[in-house]
Amino acid sequence: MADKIPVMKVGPLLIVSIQTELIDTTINELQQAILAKISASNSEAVVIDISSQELVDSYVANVLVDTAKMVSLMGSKMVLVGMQAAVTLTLVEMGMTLPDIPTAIDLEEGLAKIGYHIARLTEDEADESDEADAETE
Amino acid sequence: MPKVEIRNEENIVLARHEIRNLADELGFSIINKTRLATAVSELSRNTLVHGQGGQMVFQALREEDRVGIQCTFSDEGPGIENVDEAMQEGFSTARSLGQGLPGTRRLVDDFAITSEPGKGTTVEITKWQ
Ligand SMILES: Nc1ncnc2c1ncn2[C@@H]1O[C@H](COP(=O)(O)OP(=O)(O)OP(=O)(O)O)[C@@H](O)[C@H]1O
Ligand SMILES: [Mg+2]
Repeated sequence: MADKIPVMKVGPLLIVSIQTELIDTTINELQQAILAKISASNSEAVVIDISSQELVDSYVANVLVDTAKMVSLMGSKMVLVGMQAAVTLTLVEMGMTLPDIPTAIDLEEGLAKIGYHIARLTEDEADESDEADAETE
Repeated sequence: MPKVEIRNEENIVLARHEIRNLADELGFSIINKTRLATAVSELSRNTLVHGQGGQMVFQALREEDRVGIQCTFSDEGPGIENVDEAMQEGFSTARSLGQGLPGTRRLVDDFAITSEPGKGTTVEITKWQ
């Protein structure tokens, strides 16, 4: 049996980093897991990293398109990051575009596309937030 | 010729692994390997879903100035009533996208399909390195 793909909750986001080769059952299970987790945690967006996939066929592409539609109906967003160039080109040649799914080169750009920016706090800011934490305790 | 039985979903994965490995061995470019492996994924799924299972046989083609891979998918399923129609963009009897056959044809160099209703379907593809 194929391993389950973990869906990680990071603040308001869900991050899915696919490490195994996607097959029909795993992609269907993943869709269910994402939808369940969005409804349980009211996540604002889900980012799926598919950089490990050397092949995305029409079956997997369709499930991704369906998932994005459902995610959007639930008031959340879905971003696909890291698709290999050969995979993108092959999908286009097959006539399979992924309408309505924002895509990005990597996780950082994907997050930026939906309005999240990775930034390190300066030391002062970090101190302040430590203090703020201390106050709330 | 090496053969992969296509009876379940794992067999589809096996079929594309075999072809990817052979493409690596023959020095295919990444893009042509991806095109061919994707075509294999589409056609083996058709064999499984529409053709009620079947097989893929494959071989390396070595000519003087080029190498390639030929794959033949065959099943003894219901066959296709009208092949021209099945090759059309968007035609599907399974309420799917109907993108598999026309899309696959664009990914490979040679594409031949024969089908007889009640007897089965054979699709042969060739991709040069
Ligand atoms: N091996 C086969 N045996 C019988 N019928 C087939 C076979 N392969 C294809 N067909 C018929 O041809 C139609 C078109 O095939 P195609 O792969 O283009 O689309 P699909 O499989 O229905 O959808 P998609 O591949 O986009 O998910 C199928 O719906 C089916 O009716
Ligand atoms: Mg198909």
